Amino acid sequence: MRLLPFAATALIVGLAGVAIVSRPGGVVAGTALRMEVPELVRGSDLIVEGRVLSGEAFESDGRIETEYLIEVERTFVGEDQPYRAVRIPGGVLPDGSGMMLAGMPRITPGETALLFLSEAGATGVRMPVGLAQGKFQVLEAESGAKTLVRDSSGVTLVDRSGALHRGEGRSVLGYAQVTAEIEAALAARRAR
Amino acid sequence: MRLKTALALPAALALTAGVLAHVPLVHPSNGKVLHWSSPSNVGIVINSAGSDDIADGSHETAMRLAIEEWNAATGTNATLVENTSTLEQARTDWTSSSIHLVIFDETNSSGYFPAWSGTVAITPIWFFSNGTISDADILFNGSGFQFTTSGDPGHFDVGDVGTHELGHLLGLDHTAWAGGTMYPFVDPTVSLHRSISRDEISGLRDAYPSASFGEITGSVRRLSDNSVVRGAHVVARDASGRTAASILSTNSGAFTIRGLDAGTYDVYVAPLGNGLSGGSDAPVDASNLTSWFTIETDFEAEDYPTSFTITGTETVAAGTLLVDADVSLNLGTESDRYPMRIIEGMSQTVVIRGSGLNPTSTLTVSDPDLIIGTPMWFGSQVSFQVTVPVGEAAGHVDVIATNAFGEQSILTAGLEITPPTPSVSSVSPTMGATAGGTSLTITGTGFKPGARIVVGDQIYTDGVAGTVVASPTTITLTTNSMLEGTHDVVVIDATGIEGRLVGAYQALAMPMIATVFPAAGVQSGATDVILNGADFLPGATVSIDGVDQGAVTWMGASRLAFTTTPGATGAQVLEVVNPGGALASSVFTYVAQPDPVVLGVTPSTVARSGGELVTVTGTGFTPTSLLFFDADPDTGVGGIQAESVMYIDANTMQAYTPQFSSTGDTNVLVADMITSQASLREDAVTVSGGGGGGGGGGCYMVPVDGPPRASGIARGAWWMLAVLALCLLRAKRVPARDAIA
Repeated sequence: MRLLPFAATALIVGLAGVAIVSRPGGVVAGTALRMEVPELVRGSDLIVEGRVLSGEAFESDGRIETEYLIEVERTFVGEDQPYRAVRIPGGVLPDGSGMMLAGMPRITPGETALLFLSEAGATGVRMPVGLAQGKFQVLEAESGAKTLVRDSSGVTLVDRSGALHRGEGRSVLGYAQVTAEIEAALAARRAR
Repeated sequence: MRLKTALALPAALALTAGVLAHVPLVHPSNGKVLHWSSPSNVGIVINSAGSDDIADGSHETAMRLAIEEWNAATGTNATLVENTSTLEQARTDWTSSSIHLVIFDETNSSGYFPAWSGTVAITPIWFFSNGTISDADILFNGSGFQFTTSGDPGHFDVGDVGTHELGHLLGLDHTAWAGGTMYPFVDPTVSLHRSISRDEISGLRDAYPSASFGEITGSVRRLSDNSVVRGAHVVARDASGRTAASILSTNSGAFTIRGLDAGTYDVYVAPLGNGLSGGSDAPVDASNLTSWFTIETDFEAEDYPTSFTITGTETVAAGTLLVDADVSLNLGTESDRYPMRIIEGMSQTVVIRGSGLNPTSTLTVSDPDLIIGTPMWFGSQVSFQVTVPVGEAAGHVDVIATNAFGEQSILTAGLEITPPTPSVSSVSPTMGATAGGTSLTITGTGFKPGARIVVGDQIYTDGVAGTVVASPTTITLTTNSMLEGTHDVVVIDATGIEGRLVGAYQALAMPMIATVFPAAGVQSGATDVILNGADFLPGATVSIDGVDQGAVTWMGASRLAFTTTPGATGAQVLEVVNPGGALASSVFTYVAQPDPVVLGVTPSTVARSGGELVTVTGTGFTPTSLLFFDADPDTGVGGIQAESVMYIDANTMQAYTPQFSSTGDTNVLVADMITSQASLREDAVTVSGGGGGGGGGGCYMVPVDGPPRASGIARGAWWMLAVLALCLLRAKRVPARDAIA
């Protein structure tokens, strides 16, 4: 699976000009979906923060998808509902067989996640915007302080202060900072 | 840089070395490595529809090159086997397990490419619980991005993206090598991912070995408390300082670098991503891996002083590699554009972003042959000039930044050395038959052994089937059967860079004869004939009634000239055969009477207004001879018919000139309206003076189409009728010859 690096965007815009701009998902997608929160917001039809209660994989039209049930704590984009079921490509069936798409985020029941999801397709499936970049794990210290980590490697530990334990995190972002960027991006989107 | 002493625990570590090698895709639930059960025959089909952006079907060629690239990896039995069945290539049911399809999703029918998705291509992989891959397909995001096979700006290179996705299809996850093909990000300006790196080869050797190779084992632990480091990126460098292979340490901190050829290696350990010190985002981190792996990054990159020599297929123990605590120094970010190409024999400025890149730092590269200029440190980036000596082999080089405290950060395979870009300056011949068989000589610069050449939809490989990179400036090959049309000639270096001469070679289809002029000649031969048509090739031969006509003058793809040999009277089959065997046929008629020959016209200068009596001298004139001025010299068509033609004898004709539309030299054509024999003399008459209107048109002959078609027959009949009608009109106006005499 290939993604666009952030640096590629300006170049594509410069080189491709109208040809690329004429494709709605082209340049902006590459730019937006590469690590920048405002662009993650731009590409999202649903942004929710919540606890993943379960994930059930099933086969549909030759593909395998997983429906995650999320207890929603906060909805940034989309209708606010206490619970949400979102279907995402890939998963493992009870017999151990499965389907994966390299680069997709790993979503684990029990974790709290901030998800940036595309609009639902014809089959109801949503894609994480920017694939793995469309999911942050939300870590909460006993103090209530939250931290976001883009990390597919499993459980990450935090101490009382909310700081990460040694070696367990990458791409650590401040929750307040990210949510502020989301709100700002939403305001900009509404203004347009 | 602080060097740590490796603790020698070879026996124990050999037993506990991790089974995880390289960065394979793994089962999300049980961690088993995803793999093909029959790797020597992994079928793949390239959907023929291709991309909306690529009209000539060259996506197939680009993907075939990508397949060849993976299949050329040594030490592995993994082989992609393309099925080129037309029916299979027409299939679009990529979710079917009966086909492994490469397809462009132009309408997001898959649902995997919603607007703004940022995903250029994706490879869904189905697997069983034991890790066996049951199906895999490659989908290009044709709805959101544009693709190219010819370097169109802003378009993604099909070969570059396709090679990467094939790696996933074979079971490889993303790599931490910034210059590797499995590097997770793509850029429309590069094509270097077309060539797989030693990291990918190592991955295939590990997953699907066809032979035994050397190994280096060990474990990674923290210096501070001897705790194991999970997911550390352990890298082997060869004796020339080139990045050679790498793996991730297991959850027990153990590692085994597999697939190593005999040689001497240094080993270093680097975090896969930046640690808790924050700063810039690393080029690759855990989020770029699919799942399962536990990646710890809270340590400093460490080089180790001990070299390890592999003489054959043995396992060499590196012991315990200790790492120190993380440092506030990171070299390389995801916003850099990798791979960063540096060119053999050139000096270039390289800029690498990062954090903690302060002016008291030093910069080195792993290959000591490279010459580094004084770096410019800007905190968040470093700029430096690097010179690659002439003769340096292609490959990857690590970049190492060391700050004033001796702390370091290593950018694995951050630089990729390539030869200069090859250039194609000419191709000879410039055209050939679609059937192939043309001996082609490609001239240019920078041709290297192992190059691949693409002409049309065909791929030619140095050393295979007569294709030879004879010198850095010359490649010779014999064309295969290929698609009709004008094609670029592309020379692709083993590193993936290419030189291209646009529209350099024309593959012509079956030749076609439109007219034979004259359509008849004397049976004794020596009639000069011009064939007009299309797709004639240099070297084409002409035969009449199976008799080769000898020398043929190629006057372009639409015209041939030859002189007849003797033949039997009557209509005979005339054939043009292109090199390669493509054939076109028409008719030439041998007749008993001599061909007309125009020797001169008196007076040689006539008035534009017409009405002058001229005398035409020559041989072979008959009472049925017609006289035209200014006919098409190649077909005999058109021109202005002379009025009141008087046949004097076989050597003399007289006629009144028509009105001419312009002045200047013009030709004279004598044609026999019965036999279609003809003779045209160029510049026989000079038209002078003003006045007069345009002359009437005329045509004396029926163009002979070939091969015969109903439409051609109808057209010919129409012309026949027109000529006959003209003759009848003339018969009413022109006195009989005897009367004139």
